[in-house]
Amino acid sequence: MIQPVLEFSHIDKAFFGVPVLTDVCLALAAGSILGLVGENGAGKSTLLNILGGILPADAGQLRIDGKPFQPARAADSSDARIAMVHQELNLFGNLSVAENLSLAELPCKRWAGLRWVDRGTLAARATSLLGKVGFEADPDTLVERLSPGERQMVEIAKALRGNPRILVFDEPTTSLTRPEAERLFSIIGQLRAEGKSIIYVSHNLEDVLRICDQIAVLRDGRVQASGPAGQFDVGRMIHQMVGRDLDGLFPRHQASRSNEVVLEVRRLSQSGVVNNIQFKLHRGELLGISGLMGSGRTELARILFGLDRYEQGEIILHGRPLPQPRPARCIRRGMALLTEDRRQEGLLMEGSVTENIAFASLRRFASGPFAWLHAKRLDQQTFELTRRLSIDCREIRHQPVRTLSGGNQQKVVLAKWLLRGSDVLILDEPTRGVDVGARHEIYVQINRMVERGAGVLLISSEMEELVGLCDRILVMARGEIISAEERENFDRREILQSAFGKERLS
Amino acid sequence: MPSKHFISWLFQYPVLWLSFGLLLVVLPVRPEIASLANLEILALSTAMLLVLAIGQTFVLITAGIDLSLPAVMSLASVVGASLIGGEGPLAGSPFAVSGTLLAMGLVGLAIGTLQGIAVGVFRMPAFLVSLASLMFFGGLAVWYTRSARIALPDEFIQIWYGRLAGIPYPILLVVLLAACAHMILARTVIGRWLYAVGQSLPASFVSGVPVQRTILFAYMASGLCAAIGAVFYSARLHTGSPQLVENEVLLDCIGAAVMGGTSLFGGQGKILGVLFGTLFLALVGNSLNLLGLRYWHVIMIKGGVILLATLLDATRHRMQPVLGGLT
Repeated sequence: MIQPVLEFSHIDKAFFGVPVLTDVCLALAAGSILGLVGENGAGKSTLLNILGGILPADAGQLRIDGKPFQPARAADSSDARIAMVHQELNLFGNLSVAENLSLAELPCKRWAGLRWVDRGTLAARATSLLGKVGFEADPDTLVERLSPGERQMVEIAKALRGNPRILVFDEPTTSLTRPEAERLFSIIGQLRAEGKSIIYVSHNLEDVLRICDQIAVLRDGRVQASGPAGQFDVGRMIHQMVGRDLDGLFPRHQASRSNEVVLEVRRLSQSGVVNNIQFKLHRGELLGISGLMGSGRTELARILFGLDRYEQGEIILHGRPLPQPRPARCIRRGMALLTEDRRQEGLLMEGSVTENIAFASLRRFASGPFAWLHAKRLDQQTFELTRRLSIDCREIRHQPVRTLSGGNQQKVVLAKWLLRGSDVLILDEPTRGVDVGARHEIYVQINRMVERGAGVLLISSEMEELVGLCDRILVMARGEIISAEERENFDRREILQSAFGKERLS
Repeated sequence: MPSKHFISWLFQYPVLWLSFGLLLVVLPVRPEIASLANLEILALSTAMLLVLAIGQTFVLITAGIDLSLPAVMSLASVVGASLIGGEGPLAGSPFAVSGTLLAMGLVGLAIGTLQGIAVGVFRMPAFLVSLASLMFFGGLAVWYTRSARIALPDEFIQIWYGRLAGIPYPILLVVLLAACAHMILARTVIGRWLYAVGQSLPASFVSGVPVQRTILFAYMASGLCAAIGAVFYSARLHTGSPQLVENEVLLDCIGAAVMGGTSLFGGQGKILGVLFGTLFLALVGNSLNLLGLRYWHVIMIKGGVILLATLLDATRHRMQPVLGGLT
């Protein structure tokens, strides 16, 4: 058997006791392309971070050419000639292409005791790197003037600087147009022909099938299937990515959907973000929104809550139009948003549990001309909520919420909106970074809100969560609602297929 | 037996210990530091600085800074003096003092409002806004009086020199002001909003806190406190002056706030702590004077102490562990 260039052998990794990778074994053969697919949260990024020296593995071994490899820092990985081309481009828009390509080690000349940038060498180096990816650009162009596709080329050229043997592409086509993606594929093919080994991570399963030699499917941190690309088709990959039974994890709410519409969205559009969004959310309904990252789910939530703008359309809350949503206005009329980013936008990380639960509802606990706080009543109710949601902390008045676990932090955000008495809730990825046990408790709380007559919009990347909890699921792709499924017709595969884009499968 | 809470409370304010330490060191050398006359001087200089530090604290809690204090004070001082002093329109009127106080307060509130709008609504950096105000309004004060000083009548000067039951007015007034400020911060909605905005502006906005109004309030409070400070300084000096205070007063009041546990990074600060910080700085100035040190020695030492307190604040801020994300 031929020695693989890179081997992952029995890799385990857990965050705060939650396993993210379990017994992962993968091999990358020299001069081949390995496709890595899986749902969001399946562990792909963690695996790449271990390879890149950003995270240490808890157990298991990496081997390069059969020799153990333990990267402790990012520099160890580049010394081993591993290069990453990241999803989000790490380029400096205010610098030129040539400067971006040599930023880590600017060529210098000494003169008068000072180090001066050697502009000639800088440009020559850039031209030669850009030549390797077949991108003819003036090295003095500022990166901010390039298109996303051109930036991707610069990013690849940058990755080629250390003459790597292993190249990792993490979702490289997300921001590319189709012709740009095709050009990328021909460059990847060319790199393979030069004998480089490549790991290619993408949500676009068609592309993976087309350009990869080997494919591995990750699910819940395990390698679900791996083998030559010829053994796979898109349907099989999707099945491997989602098929699992965890029915007990998802409690169903007991509410019955009323006919009362609490939130209606009509023909909502913002160019480049969402397009012609229409739906109705009823009292006592748990409505899911599914879609890949970048499908416009989060953007939709932010527009509804007045955090981002929209150009066209109508938002009707409790039967009355909401012409210019602003968070404070939305909250007054009963809406609440649990943001995707709870650290930045959900919590006062240095504040205590009580402070965090209370600070959106202070006016309801105040009276008199000076808005005097009824501290006792406020304390009583926040304490009651910490108990009801079984928020686990040592102390609720002084301990900063920063020190709580992700699940408890999320419960604090939920408690904040419960205290406010919101009855139209938009939950954006409420269980991200939350361990399995706490997830269940969060689901129970969501169900209780629905049972009390709230309308809940649940945005999630996890198909299981949506299928397990929701009454209805809207599937979004490229800023549009592609399909809407009622509970009795839920079909995980079909939902995932719409999310990945139907036309590619037919 | 002191309770556990009391002890942990004592340890919350290391600056209180520093003050005691300093007092113990100076006492054997200069026993007159504990004389009644000196304690009154100490109390008066604490009161003077505390007014300004309280205003500054409101702004610091929102993670802002107000560098315009000296200019606001000077402008309030000359506007007040031009009304009540010499041939001023209010001179001799029965409403002379109250009218002057009102006008001075309005000057402070107006400048605070302008700065609050610039920082809160237009999201301009507080540092630059207030530094520009310092220059602009400082210049305006000089231009307004053509750089002349205006003598103040006796009834105005009484605000500083008058006594009630043997206690100087300014001390009584500042105690009242500090109590109000404490209650606002601890027990009212706007007070809690100040802390929320200072801790996280995005989270406050998403949670429906009226962020712009909250920031505006902080700068108005700071402007008003500067105006009150101007009343005290002017009365003490018997004059309205376009250069009422040295700019180092600014560092004193920021330093006092930081030493009392207010964070320059926002979201933290209590009036009681600020009182201790002010007391400490006043004590440093007072004891160094008694020890016969010159003015420049005093400001050098004060500068060093404030720098150390800031280092402590930055260290505390840096020590907060950054949690790695899962994704």
